[in-house]
Amino acid sequence: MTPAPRHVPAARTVAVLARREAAAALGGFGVYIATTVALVAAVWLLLVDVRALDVAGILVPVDPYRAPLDVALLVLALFFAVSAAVSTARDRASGTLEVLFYGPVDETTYLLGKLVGLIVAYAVTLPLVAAGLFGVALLSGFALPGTLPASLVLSLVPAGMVVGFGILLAIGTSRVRSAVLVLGVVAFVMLGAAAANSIVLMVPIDHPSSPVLALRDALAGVNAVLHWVSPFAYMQRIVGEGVAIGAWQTAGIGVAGALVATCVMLALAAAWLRWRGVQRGGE
Amino acid sequence: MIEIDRLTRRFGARTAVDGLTLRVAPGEVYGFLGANGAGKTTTMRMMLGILASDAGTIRVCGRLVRRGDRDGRMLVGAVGEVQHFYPEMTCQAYLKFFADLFDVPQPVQRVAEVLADVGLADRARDRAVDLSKGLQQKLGLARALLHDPPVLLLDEPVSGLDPHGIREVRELICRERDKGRLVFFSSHVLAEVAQVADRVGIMNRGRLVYENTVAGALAGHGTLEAAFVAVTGGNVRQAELVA
Ligand SMILES: Nc1ncnc2c1ncn2[C@@H]1O[C@H](COP(=O)(O)OP(=O)(O)O)[C@@H](O)[C@H]1O
Ligand SMILES: [Mg+2]
Repeated sequence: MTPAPRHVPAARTVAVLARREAAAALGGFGVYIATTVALVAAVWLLLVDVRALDVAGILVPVDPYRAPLDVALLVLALFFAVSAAVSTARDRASGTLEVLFYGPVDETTYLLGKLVGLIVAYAVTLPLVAAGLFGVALLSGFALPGTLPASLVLSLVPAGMVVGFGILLAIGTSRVRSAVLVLGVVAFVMLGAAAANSIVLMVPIDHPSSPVLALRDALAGVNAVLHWVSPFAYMQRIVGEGVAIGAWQTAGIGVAGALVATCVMLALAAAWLRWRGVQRGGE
Repeated sequence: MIEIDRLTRRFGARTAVDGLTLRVAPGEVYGFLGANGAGKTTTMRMMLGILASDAGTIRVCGRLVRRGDRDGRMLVGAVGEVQHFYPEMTCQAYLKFFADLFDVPQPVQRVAEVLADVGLADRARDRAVDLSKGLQQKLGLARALLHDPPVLLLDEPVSGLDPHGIREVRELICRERDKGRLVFFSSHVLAEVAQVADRVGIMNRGRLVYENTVAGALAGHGTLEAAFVAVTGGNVRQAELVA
């Protein structure tokens, strides 16, 4: 009787959602503040490194940008994880999500739109980071590594994973504040476990039954898991341990792992959202 | 056309919609009445395919409504109980976003059309969140019209509006009906419903307890309010009970 309704391709829906998401992310101050903080952290680390080398009497550092770049991208990634969590939780809490679902939007297109939009926003900040580092190179006289473009481009993959991670955590919460809190705690644990691991490894062991040994084992176990699930670990692995020293295999495995992990997180988020429903406060 | 058969939805132990069966014809304005918590919103969310039903079926324009059916949503324009807007967007930008989402041909032109339709042309560049409640309701209606759907689903479109706003929404409903759209709206502003609806159904605790033409209800009870009190208060004339 009635002709079939017009079909909107899923890719089109994702593109429209992503464009709004990217515009909203880039339209605020937050992303520029985060980029500035990332660059300041990088410069500070560079100065600390250079001074240490100076004291040690080494004149030409091998790659003075390795740690600074790593930290700068980590700061940015953290910002986008928070952005993803906040915007996802806000859509849901405000009821915007339900209005989107009055249109040709379902769980998968909604989540993909958010992911793609925030990856695009992240990509837009990368030239800013590059320009900032270029300025630092001019002022400091330390040449930028040739691998910088590869680092930045490949960092899109773990950045996407970070965003997916923020989205996933936010699906389960009903309020923006709880989403940020949960993300903060999880990120703190993930980053803290990695930091604790390297600190404990430096503690001397005086006798074979030292409790430090048990702590070492426990932290090693935790980090073995985080190695595969923590988006921050992927960022570090791909940029810091992979591209920076030309270990392309490490970087490649990291990229593949992050892609798989992102898909898994998005599928989990979609299933969870379907189960909870789009209504404020849940079904 | 809307065809609902034995629709049921439970939340835990509470049955929000209980074996609902109803029909609405194209070009008809159907007033869906009931006290708070009667199950109106739950029914409409199932009609949109954003809430799963426990039993029963819904067809809109002959198409079976399934949860998450993106194509099915193209047949329906919906306005929810509360309006939500992106804080950064003007009215125009908001409608353009949804026009793109619905893949409307010539979106810029269409946005201007619906803005004019609801009388918001002069507010196009104002931020949506800054509008009054009545104007936000109109902006929601404009969004629902963008893709020219055969069916309009309006959940409490006049609640919280001043008499002026109520009259404007009424005029809009009549205008859209005259264009051939089916309008299904929920309300508890009964005097309003009497003026605009062709037919009414009254929900009570998830069940459709009364259904009649407005003319028939007025003839039988004098006012819709009297009909409402009679059927939800318990002394319903047997002949009017919906089987
Ligand atoms: N998401 C939900 N979770 C639990 N109970 C709900 C939910 N939505 C509605 N209900 C319950 O279902 C009943 C019908 O609600 P609703 O359809 O919103 O009524 P109305 O729109 O007629 O006021 C109410 O008792 C309400 O508490
Ligand atoms: Mg309601």
